[in-house]
Amino acid sequence: MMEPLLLIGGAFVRLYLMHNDFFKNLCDGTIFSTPVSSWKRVTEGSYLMGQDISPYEGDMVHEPPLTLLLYNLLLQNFAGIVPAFFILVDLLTAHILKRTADKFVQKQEKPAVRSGAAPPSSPSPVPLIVTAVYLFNPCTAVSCAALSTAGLHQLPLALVFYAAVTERWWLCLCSLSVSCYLDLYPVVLLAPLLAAVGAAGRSRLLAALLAAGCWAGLLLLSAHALGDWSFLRSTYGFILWTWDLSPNVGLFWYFFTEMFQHFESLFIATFQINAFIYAVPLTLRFRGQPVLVMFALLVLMVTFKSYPSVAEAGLYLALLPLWRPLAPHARYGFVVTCFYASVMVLAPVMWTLWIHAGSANANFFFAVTLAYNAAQIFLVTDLLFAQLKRDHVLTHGTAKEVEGKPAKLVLC
Amino acid sequence: MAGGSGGADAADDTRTARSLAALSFAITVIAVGVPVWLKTTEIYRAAIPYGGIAGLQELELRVGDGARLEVLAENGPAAERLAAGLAPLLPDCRLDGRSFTEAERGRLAAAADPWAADDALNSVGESDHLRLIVLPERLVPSAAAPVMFGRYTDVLVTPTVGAEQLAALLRQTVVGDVSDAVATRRVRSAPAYDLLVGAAGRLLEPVIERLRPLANISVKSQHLYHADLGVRPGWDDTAGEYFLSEEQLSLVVTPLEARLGASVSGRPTLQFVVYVPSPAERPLHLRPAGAADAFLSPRWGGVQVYNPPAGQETVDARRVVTVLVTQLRLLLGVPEPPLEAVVRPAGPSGLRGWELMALRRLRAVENVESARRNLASLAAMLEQISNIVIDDSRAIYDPSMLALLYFPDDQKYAIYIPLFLPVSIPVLMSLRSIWGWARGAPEKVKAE
Repeated sequence: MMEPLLLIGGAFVRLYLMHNDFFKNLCDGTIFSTPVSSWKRVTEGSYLMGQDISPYEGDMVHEPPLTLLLYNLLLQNFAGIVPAFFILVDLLTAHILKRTADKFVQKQEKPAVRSGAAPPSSPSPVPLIVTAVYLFNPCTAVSCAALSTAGLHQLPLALVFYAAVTERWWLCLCSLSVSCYLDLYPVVLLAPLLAAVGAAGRSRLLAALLAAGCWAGLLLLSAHALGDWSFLRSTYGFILWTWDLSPNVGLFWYFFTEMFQHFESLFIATFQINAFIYAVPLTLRFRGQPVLVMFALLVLMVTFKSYPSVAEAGLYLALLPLWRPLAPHARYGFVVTCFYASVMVLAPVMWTLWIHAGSANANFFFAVTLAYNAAQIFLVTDLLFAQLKRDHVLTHGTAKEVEGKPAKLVLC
Repeated sequence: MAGGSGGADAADDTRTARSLAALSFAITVIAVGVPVWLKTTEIYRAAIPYGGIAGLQELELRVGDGARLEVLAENGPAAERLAAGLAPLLPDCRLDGRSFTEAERGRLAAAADPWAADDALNSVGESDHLRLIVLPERLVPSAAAPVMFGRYTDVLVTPTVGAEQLAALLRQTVVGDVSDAVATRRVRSAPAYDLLVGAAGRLLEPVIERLRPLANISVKSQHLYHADLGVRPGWDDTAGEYFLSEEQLSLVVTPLEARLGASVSGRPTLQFVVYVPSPAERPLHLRPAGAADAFLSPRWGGVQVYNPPAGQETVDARRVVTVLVTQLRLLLGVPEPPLEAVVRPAGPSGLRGWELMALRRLRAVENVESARRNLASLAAMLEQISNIVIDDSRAIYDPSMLALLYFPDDQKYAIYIPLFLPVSIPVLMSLRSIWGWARGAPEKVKAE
């Protein structure tokens, strides 16, 4: 009853934003449309395909082939309903997130119920909060209005979380391979997923093979549809080598505009390793909580990927309420909230000042971007520390001593 | 999740988890990061054969190396005997001997004296290597010199020539190294020369054609009127002439050059000036008196003074060009045979075949020397500058070579440290705790 209302409300918000001039100007910025997720480039690719030219020949199109073909189909035949398509995908993602939250909260409350406590009197508000956060979050709403395909890429990621929580492993691994096919970075989620698969008693090797096989199948299908493998350079090659340095909310562009050419490959390798390196250590450290690790890796992935857009932040912000029990142990809640609020306001302001008014420069915008990324890092580390503290409290009580000596809690 | 023993297990578990996590970080950094760093910041240096270049310095090259001398005589054994006699005296040359071919015999039969024989043997074209022609008895004049230098690439000898005398003369001229006097006088080797001539003409064309295998000479000429030499000639009463002494000659060249206005070009310029004195200063001669009133400035060019015959104002081109060609020969470093050798007049081209050959050989030796020196200095420089990129195909002047030239090593550290040091400190410090865990030591709880 609440949920359909929320969905309808979300749809209206997006429709309004799509037809409002002020937000139309806002949407032009690369905060919402990176070179990887811009709808303009998709239409360009569709036009090129109509002219029998390979869309990957130039440097414009970086969309994977199968989705490009899907969009092409849409544009050719149902051009009018493209905005509706984006809104529908967003609503579907919100619904999947609600189902995920339902199941997760149920699992969270199970130990308490089993140990004899009375079942909660009213159903937890968390699932509805999750849905509402996703639908009414300015990040996702404006991204949908800007027709950013990054919003569409959140659907497989939401499915991954849903299937991981409901332990539907086939669905989980297949949506993970779809997600990896679309952007490269979700492959970091494979580590906690394999840990979860192992904890559930299934074969990890089989799971890894399934994921790899699905991904390979998608690549082969793309090559078959296009006729050659040239798309690899424009999609994965582009994501890994980041030769387009137009500004976005990520960390890459500012750094590499100032890099000496001789060191470019070293630092690109460093940045990309940095994006992938946290998967295994975090999985090892938090062996018992794969979903937490998946969430942490999601946030880190959004922070360190080469072309992030704020739509991706919308997903993890929506999932954040799932860890409400950790809130009492979190130290930086207020700071992070303030960070996010100010970044939401300042980012479009600095962008407009820099690009449209010409009275600011790249440093202003990059400062806001740095604050945004710092907020994400604070969020992750705070959450992980909160989890550790909660574990410690549950085992040792609130005493600050271990075996009679004062102790300090460390992450690693 | 309660209880003391469970707590101890859990603590152990977390310690294992923590150590494994830190270990995976360390492994990734060391196993992936360091090789990537080394690979991506390596400077491409194409392999330079330093050993070969050093070995080249030992090379001793002589002008006569590899020169081919063919002895021609009436009969084969005589030619071979002469060749065998010369071989130990000219060890760097290749000597062989043969008898005249039928065609050559036929052409020789018509000749009456050595120079005619020279013409006859070269009537169908100059040979491309040096030849020693042993003249038949009938062609040898009674008081002939044993060695005669022809106009083409032949040296004519009598049948009774001594091998040592012949070898000595050949060393001085045809296959000889250049003497110091010639070395300071001759202009440096270049693929092309500019000649600035005061009064040129069609007479220079054969000379320039002749020199074409050696260098492309372009001739420019200009006339300067009312020009002054800048020095006041003395007046000799007894001889009734004006004269310029030797000391004055050295003061003539610089003001002259200032007025000549040579054009800028990449080629070495040789200036040849013909000075016609004003009527008030005629006749003007140079003291000490030489064959012509002309002098050379080494590596620069030559000046000659032309006194027109009384009453006329024209310049005899033939006389002027003769002197000019002589000066050109001296400036190019053409080997001069000793005064006692018999040398045939050079003819309209101004240069004999064997002289041209010697010049070309000299040029080759100079090129090798210069290449050797350049390679040595290049190798030394590349060894010293360790961070210059050595590309396979580009030369030292290519702009891409400068990309890393001014990149001192300490700047590299300034680039690495801000990014990598803060990241690597926790990794390095956690290595200690990993080591402790691996050894099985009990965990040290830090005091607050």
